[in-house]
Amino acid sequence: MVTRVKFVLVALGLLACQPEAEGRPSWVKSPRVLAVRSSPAEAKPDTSVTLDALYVAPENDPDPSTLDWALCNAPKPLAAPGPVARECLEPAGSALTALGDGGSVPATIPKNVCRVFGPTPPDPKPGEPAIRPADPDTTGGYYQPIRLLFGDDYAIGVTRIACGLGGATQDQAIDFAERYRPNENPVLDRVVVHHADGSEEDLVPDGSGAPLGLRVGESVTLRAEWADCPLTPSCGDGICGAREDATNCAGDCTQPKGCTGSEPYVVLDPIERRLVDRRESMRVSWFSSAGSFEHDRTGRAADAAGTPSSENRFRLPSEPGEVRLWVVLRDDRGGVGFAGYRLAIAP
Amino acid sequence: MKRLLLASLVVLATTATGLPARAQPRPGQVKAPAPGKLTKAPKLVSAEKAQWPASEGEPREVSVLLEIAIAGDGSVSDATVLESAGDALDQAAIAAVKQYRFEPAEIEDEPAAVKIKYRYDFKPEEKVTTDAPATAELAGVVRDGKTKRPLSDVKLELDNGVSAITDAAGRFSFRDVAPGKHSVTLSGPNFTPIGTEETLEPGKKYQATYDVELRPVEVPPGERSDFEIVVTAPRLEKKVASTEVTADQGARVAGTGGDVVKVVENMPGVARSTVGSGALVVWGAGAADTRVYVEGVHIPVLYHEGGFRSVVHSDLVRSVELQPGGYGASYGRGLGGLVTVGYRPLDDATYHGSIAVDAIDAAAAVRGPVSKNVHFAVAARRSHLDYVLGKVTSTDVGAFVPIPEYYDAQARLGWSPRKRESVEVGGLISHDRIERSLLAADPVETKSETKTTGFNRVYVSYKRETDDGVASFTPFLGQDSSEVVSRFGAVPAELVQNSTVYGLRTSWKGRAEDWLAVGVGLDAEVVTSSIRRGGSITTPPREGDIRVFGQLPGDQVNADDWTTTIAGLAPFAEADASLLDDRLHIIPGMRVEPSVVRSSRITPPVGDVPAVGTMREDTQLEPRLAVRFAASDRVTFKGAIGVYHQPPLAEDLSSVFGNPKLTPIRATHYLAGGQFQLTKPVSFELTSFYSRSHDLAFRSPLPSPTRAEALLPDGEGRAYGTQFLLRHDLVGRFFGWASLSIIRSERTDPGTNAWRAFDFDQTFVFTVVGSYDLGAGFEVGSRFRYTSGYPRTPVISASYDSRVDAYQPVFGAHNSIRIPAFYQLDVRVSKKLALGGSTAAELYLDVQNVTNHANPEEIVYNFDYSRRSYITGLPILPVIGGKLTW
Repeated sequence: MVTRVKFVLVALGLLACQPEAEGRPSWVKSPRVLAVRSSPAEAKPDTSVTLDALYVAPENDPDPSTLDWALCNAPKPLAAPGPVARECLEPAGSALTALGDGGSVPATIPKNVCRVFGPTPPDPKPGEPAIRPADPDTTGGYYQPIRLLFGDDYAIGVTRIACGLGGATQDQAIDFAERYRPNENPVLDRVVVHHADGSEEDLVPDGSGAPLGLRVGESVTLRAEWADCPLTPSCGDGICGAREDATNCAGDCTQPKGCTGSEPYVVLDPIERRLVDRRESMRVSWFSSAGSFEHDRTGRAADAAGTPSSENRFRLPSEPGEVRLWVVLRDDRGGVGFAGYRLAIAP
Repeated sequence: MKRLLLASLVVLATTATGLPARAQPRPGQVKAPAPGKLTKAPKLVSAEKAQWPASEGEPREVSVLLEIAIAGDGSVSDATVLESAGDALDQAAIAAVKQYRFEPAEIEDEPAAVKIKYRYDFKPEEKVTTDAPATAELAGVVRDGKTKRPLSDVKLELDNGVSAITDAAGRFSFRDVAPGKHSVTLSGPNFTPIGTEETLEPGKKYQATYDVELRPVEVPPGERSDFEIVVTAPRLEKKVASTEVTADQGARVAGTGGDVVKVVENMPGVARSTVGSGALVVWGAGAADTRVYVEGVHIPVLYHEGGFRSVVHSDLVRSVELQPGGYGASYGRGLGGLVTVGYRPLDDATYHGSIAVDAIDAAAAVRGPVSKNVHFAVAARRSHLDYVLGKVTSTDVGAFVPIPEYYDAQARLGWSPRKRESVEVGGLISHDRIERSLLAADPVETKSETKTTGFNRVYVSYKRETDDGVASFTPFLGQDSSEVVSRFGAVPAELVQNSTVYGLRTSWKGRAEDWLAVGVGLDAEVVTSSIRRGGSITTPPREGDIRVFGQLPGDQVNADDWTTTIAGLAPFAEADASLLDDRLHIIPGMRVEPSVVRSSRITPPVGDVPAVGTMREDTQLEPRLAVRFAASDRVTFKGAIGVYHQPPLAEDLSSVFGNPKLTPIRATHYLAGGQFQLTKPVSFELTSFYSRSHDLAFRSPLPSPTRAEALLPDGEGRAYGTQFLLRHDLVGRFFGWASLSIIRSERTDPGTNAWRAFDFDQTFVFTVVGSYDLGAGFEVGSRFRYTSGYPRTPVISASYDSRVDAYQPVFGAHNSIRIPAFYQLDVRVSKKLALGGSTAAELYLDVQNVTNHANPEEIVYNFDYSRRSYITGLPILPVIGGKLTW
């Protein structure tokens, strides 16, 4: 049918010809950073976070000590392309605060981060007009960029920063503070292999046991699952939700904890200019050292119904051997979770 | 009974009553038509015999004096009786004359509509008593039309090159003339050459009497109404750079699909737009910088979305003209070019219409008389591409490509209370909608977009031509609307703009002295807009943004809603001084435009803080000067300089996404060139230009811009180049042109001093267009285009963005590479079928990209930007269409 549609469109002069893209994001053919995670996912200024990365290669994991971490301190111009200022894509410089090397490093979110990257604009120089604050993303979030250098390549991660609301009324700010809870990194509960005969098996995370055995050329469905987050907070559910705090729900909020799935959150809709309740959308990025996925990424939109999971078809390679597989789970507030797996492909 | 019908021509003075300056003729000398006036009289190239009405009994010698209106394409658009010979004979003469075909008159070397007096003589055919030799004889006398005195020294020339000079008795004779139709050209010392046609049968002797009315040596002001060639649309301003194509020719250009207005794409100085864009980039100016007018009414766009069709039905169009720069003081508010679409006169004596259908849309038009003095014309068009695709596919085609849905309609009602006076009420409406959505497994890849645009206009146009001048008064009212709502993953974007437009164009053009024509007028426009925008500041992108096809849009969002009022009231005056025996024309002009730009919000919305507005008043002085010098009958040099302003766009006055304090942008145009008449139908024109723009709105380059200054009015622009046009007018069976534009358009961004290529710069644009009438209703046309590719910014590396799991490009020097050059050959073949009466059908096959060349249209990269390739444009594309006219 697609061919027929294209034929008609060509006949009507409406279809330009787009070449097939070379390579696919899900193919891991060389050392790559597949994810950068901040723990906690959302932090206040002048607080500590731990940064780590999913740094992989087709055979064995590369040496994590080659990862060079730094905080990017320079905002990018309003319409500049890319996630960070150009001067942050350098080995060193005044725009960078070095954090050290390794697979995991600690970092302290700068005190002025909400002025540089958030809704609190820097103080103007005397006699000069006010500075424009940064715009939030669609979830109302602001982010501290993190620069990661490996070899000659760069990766950019973020820590979501808790800066409050910009451009809101006082009532909205108060309401927001009562209802908004910091983001929690999502966690992959499990990844299930669904065979053509209907049987299912869990993939075994790296280092947790023997690789799962599968047959060459087999086509299976992989399903990534995560926690099912309640939309309505309930004291005692283990999650410190909206309008819950240490005084009215000490059990959940003395050590505040969020949900590791698709969390509900409140955001100031910039178009409607009112607080609206939303739920995180979830994305699953699939990577493998061999074989091919039907989709490079799948996910579940914020308004999608059904179980907290996402599926993807995976065709195993035609040659026996070990296949490495990585799954990265992201929520749209900057939270990241990931896991690696190995498959033993038998003839 | 056979009759010999001889048409006697009554040609009086040929000076245009139009009002271009006219030098004083020297006594006793035949004066060449002055530039700015009639430069070429209409020439009769084909004529039909009138049928002697049976009600009149035996044929006799009798004449009907007519005034016939000759359109810019040489057809006779109207004929009225000045001296009647009885109703039946009058109607017979009118019916014959309306079949005549002329080489069009030219005003200022451009085809123009004129009116002439024409006496149709019915004469009994003379009996020939010879032995019917194989040749014929044509003899006769040439007389002064007023005094009936014979004229000597008048040269008569047949189309076979044989000529004769009248003797003292005004007599002439051609012997042994081959039978058949022959054109006869009369030229003399004190009348403008004019032609007629005679059909000679073998063995017969024809006796003709040509009454030629002489041009007055000097015309007293009170007698100017005697001028016989009336410039229907007098032009005072001398267009130094202008390309005009008549409707008849425009519809025959390959690649236009029969759409007259689309011929603008093939004019010199116009860049080729990318497939599906339809943007009009003229002399390196942005699409929004070129103004479009239909009969003096400003409209926001020339083409429907995707560029498939124009917004005006071709049947209503008389001609389309593009002035890429340096135009006169009567127009303004645009730094770029000027496109003027002229309607054909409302003067049809009977009903005419057309129906046209092809794969994309269907259109219909009807025009005709309501009464003797009241005429109407209506036209409408609607796309059915979405319907066609729905019938041949069962899937949502919109997931693959945007399918434009559009309609437009025009209506005109004209009343002529008196001769040379008209009132017209009209309206235009246009609507476009594109809707598409693409579902994906990845929620971030799910996209949807709905774009709805449209406009409507209602106008009243009053025109009156008097002996002293021409006055026009055209108020108009309308609305523009644009709504773009999209969602790219979770990132929303919307831009909704509704504007009300109030406009008035009024002018008077007259002659102060014989050597001096003047024009004054008022060009007023008030636009009130209500705008709502939300989403990323980079969506939609604007000129100067560095981006690459397929790149994820920014996901930092904001919103704003605001209102604006942009008003300008521009009185203008211009003059045309004719010096050096009409060879030198100096045309100064001045336009003074007090303007107001008001925005309802000077700072971004914060909480419930009430909005505070801002208003800015400016007065722009826009001096203009054009000079034309006719070095000889064949060579004319020209030059112009002018200052132009353009108000800021309403959508740029946002306190969040733009800057409510933007100032009008300004430019200075410098032009110089020459026009060379190589042969009668072939001319060569060369125009060099330099345009310098200031105060352009550009993105703030600051990492922390000040509030309400996302745009800064500090951009600079320049464009320079030369365009060449070799044109073969429609003479005989062929017309066509070849144009080459070598243009460089550049910008500087705020904070930099370096010039970079304009996003839509096309250094070379070469176009060849031709159409040949094969006879028997067949016609073949072709178009070849070669253009430089648009500039692009190279990707030199990429970084991995973990938050969105995508590689983000790192760019090199701004606009430092180009998409490879484009070239394409199109061919059009058409066949006209006479279906009886005035009904005819036309079938055409328009084949675009005959060679099936894969033209790169855009650069694309793989997922990590390590490899570059191209999206290619249309493959070979045959389009069949048909049109029924009556």
